[in-house]
Amino acid sequence: MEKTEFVYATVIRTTPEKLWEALTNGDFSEKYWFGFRIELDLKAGGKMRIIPPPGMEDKGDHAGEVLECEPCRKLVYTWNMKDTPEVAQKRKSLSRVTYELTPMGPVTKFRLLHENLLPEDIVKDSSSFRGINNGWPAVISSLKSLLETGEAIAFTSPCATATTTK
Amino acid sequence: MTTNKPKLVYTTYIRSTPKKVWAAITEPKFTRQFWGGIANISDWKKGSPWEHRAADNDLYLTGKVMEYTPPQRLVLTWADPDRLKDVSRVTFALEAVEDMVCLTVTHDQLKSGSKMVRMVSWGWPRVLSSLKSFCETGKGLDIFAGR
Repeated sequence: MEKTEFVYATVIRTTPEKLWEALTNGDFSEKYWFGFRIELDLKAGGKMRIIPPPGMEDKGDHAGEVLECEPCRKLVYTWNMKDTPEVAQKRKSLSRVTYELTPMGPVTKFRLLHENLLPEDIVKDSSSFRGINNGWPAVISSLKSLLETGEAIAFTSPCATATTTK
Repeated sequence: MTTNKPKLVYTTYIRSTPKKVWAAITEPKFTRQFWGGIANISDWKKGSPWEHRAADNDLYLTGKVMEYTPPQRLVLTWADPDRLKDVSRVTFALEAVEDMVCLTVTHDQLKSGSKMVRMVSWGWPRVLSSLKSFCETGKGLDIFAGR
């Protein structure tokens, strides 16, 4: 069976240190990550939590574990997708997220890999942020705006369905 | 990207308007500022040729305009001038969402395992990151040295 994964790369005019802080600190993440706070014990075996903002507790706390941590260069953690019982039966292992940060002179390349996914995690309909493929580009775009302009993108409504399809 | 029918889809959100993002992609005086000094040259009529050409006249890519619907949808065919029979297709789709533009670039009809697939896998994130920086900060990213 073809394995499902999602890759997203971007280049940000910032330093690896500032990008690392924005990625690993809840005070930053709540600005660009739909109000979610990330909490990490930055060492192999450490806890990872992504805590929803007040009023959205039903969205759940995606808890996981840090597998690898190389400050300002690489972070790998597991991500609990909070599946319905039906989907949980199909999932053989927790999904895994890898951040890779590469300095390139005045900019930093950021590559995200989300693997061990199921086809159900990818949502074709782009009229909401549901689905790994719709959520990550929004979060990372907002992170880039925050680091380059000082202001994140405040998403209050998702992309409307494209007026022309195909 | 699946390996048997390679297709790249890249979405980014830019704090700008569809008109401005469209102009950045289609007007050489803007495009050169974020796309490594290269511009998209065309009269933008359906069926017209399109060239991706540097200021020193070097031709990097060529193709045809398949659809031009400003500021929403631009569809181009896309080929290396030295490999004209390997033609792929690029679609720029722009949507206004509040004070942002949701830009989705789809690059399909690529030849599996080709040099073009490898180039655009990094090429699109690089160019579109630079486009976003240009639209939001007035400056593109200096990441095209040694292309």
